[in-house]
Amino acid sequence: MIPYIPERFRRRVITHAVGVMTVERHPLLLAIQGQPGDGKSFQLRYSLEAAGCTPFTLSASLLAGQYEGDAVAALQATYSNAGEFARMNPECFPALVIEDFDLSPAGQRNGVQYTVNSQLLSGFLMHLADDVTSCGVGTSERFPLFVTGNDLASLHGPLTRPGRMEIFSWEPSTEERADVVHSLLVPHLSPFTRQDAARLIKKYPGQPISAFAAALTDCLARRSYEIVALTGSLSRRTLQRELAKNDEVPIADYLAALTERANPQFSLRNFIQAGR
Amino acid sequence: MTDGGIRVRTRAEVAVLTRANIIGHITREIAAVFKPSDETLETVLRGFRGGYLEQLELMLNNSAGESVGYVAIEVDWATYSVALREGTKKNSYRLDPTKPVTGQVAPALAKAIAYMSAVAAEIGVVSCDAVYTYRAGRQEEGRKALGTVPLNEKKNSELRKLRSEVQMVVSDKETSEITVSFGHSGRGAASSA
Repeated sequence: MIPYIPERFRRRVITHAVGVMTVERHPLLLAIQGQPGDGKSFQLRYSLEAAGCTPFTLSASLLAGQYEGDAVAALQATYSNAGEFARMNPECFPALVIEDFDLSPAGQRNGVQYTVNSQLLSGFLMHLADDVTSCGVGTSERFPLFVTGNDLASLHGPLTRPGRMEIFSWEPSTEERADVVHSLLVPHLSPFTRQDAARLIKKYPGQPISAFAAALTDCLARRSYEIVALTGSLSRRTLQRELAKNDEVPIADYLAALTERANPQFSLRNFIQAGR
Repeated sequence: MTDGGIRVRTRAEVAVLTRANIIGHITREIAAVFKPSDETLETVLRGFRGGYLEQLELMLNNSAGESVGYVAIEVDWATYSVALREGTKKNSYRLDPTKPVTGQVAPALAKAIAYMSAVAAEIGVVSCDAVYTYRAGRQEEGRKALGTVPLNEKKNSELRKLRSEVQMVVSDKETSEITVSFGHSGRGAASSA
């Protein structure tokens, strides 16, 4: 089941993918930046899959190699794999995704010494954006390249210039948040309306969407624990079967979990009590 | 080349092949054991390298023209695609072009080739008929590229019979998308493995 994705986000992603596919000088890179927990990576993956694109995902941590040029080699290999995938599956269209790009060697923070890998990676990406054919990636096809991150201001300036990279700042509106939270919780909370979701957002301002998802996960994990305590079995199959029978969460339990997440009590007394 | 007493031996003749190329070469090397025509070998190489074919079946014939054995080489393109997407498997191989590809990449399949070659000699395989199965969605394109013809009913019923004689199924973890099945009717002097 494909989860709900805000239309504005989905349209921006698909427009970029289609643009790279069809418009000759369209920028190759789309950088999606925003607050942590607002679903950039999650929504990006599902938007691409829903549109029939095959994402080739590369985490920024994989771009930090031991040797000079490792970052470029990793990106080159992924692009080359995408090229071969497209050649062998002509009906599919690959897209490259680099998650947490600001944490990759391409990010250049003040006060942090950067290595030659940073220059090489930024240089390679600029080269790729300008001319795919001369990058040694085994294909001349241009595939859309998406990067996500929380603060893309730390990237090398010329890489982010118009023509190479487009920047999309994802800040979901209250309405969009309510839609996402509603679609997330409605299978588990009953009754739970769109108005309830809007009220919840208002009651917990400043909370990222992931906080609402995490509170639900907390409740489901507690339910799993109750099943284990009841059946005495740690069998994954038993747990999944029992959870599938009833995965509804009482609203009061959910609100308690959300409040706990929104207002964590880190006092020493609480820790001692939790220990007891 | 020497540097501070360390000697580094370099070899200039290295072929770099992508995973799809490797699949083409391995399937070709397996098929070559059973003495097919040069056109068949070319079709196998182009068919798998281009991603048109999903399966190659060979009906092995003795000098009397009887079918005495069966080989199927199947490529699971979904496994191949996952390997590419996840980056879990190598997609670029540096090989010695003077040696067979299978021995350098997939040792289990190389052993299977040696065994099948010995059995084929014992049961007196002198030729084979090739039957190709196209990948879903690439049939028309593949037919145009490879120029194959539909199988007649007589050969089809022979093939169905031979399929039930499979005695050995081999796959190598390095090329897990390739599965080789082999069987023979026991006619001739061949003994079991």
